[in-house]
Amino acid sequence: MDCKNIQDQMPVFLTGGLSEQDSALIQEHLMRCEACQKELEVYKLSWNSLKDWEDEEPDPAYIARFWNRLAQKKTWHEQLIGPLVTAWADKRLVPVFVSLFLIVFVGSATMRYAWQVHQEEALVTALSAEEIDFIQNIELVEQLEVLEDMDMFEDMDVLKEFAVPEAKT
Amino acid sequence: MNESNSYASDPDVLLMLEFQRGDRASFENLMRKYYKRIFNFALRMLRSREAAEDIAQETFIRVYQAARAYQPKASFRTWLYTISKNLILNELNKNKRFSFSVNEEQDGEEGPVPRQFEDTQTPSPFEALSSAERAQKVRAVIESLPPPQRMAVVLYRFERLSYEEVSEAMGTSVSAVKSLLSRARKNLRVRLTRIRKEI
Repeated sequence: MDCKNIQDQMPVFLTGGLSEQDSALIQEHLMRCEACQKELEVYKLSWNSLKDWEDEEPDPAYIARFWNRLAQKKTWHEQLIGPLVTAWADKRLVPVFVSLFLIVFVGSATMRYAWQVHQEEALVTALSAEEIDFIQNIELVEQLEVLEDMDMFEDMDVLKEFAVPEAKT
Repeated sequence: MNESNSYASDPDVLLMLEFQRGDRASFENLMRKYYKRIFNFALRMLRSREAAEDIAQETFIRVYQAARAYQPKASFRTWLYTISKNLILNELNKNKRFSFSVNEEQDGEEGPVPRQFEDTQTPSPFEALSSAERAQKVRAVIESLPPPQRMAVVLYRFERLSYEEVSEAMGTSVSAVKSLLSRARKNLRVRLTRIRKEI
């Protein structure tokens, strides 16, 4: 490597970005090249001069400022739940909470019932007379099945009555 | 050994865990240790004391808010600088003074390095300047660097983070950090040499 190459690589060399082999080549070159040694010094000088920009002190009251800022800045759930928790802790507001609960509960039940009625009415208006007859027939068939089941149970009772005297003999 | 346990001996992580259990004094100890560092990091990136104070405050508010779910998966210091870096990037992008992401390198590269060598042995007029004047010149040179290079320099040179820590905080690879620092060194060498000659 010639001096130009060495000097081009110098910032990478100083940052430790070169392979061991390339670093060794540069170090070897620096041992015998005064110009490159001076260039290295210039790089080091410019880097070292950064220390002239010293740290500054922040506002000494930064901790108190932080807690104040935090108190003003709450997360969305803290903003929502915080007042509710405070209100709940205030026992004078218990009747208000109970009333609110009842309104919500009764209101939702009423709305649900009204919705069901509305759905049934909509179904009836959407069906033809034949379909309504068919549904009513299905209901009759279901009732007949129940009656038949009852007959079957009664028959079993009768059979049991016949069966008992036989066992005794 | 799992990853979270490898940070269990980090005293900052211990303070954070104590704060998680409700010890407010531990949080204040962390603030005393790092507030000035974060403030100066932000100051060197944003050029405004007011904005830097704001970033430092906001960084610790984020830490406070994250405490409940905190798990030591990285060094506390790196985590803190990562939060701060994100806030600084938001601020830079918001102000539209310049928009950049850490992985997006802006050019700002100086031309070829002048080959005439300085006499580094005898004190130059630059050294004869008052410390405040020198600081002002250095500050102007650093501020003229493209933001990704400036961030790498500030974290590595001023905040004394290792290459690995810088890469973690900046969300990039170690080789990218070294590349940023190499270009920054070259730019600083050219620009500071020019200033030295102008004096």
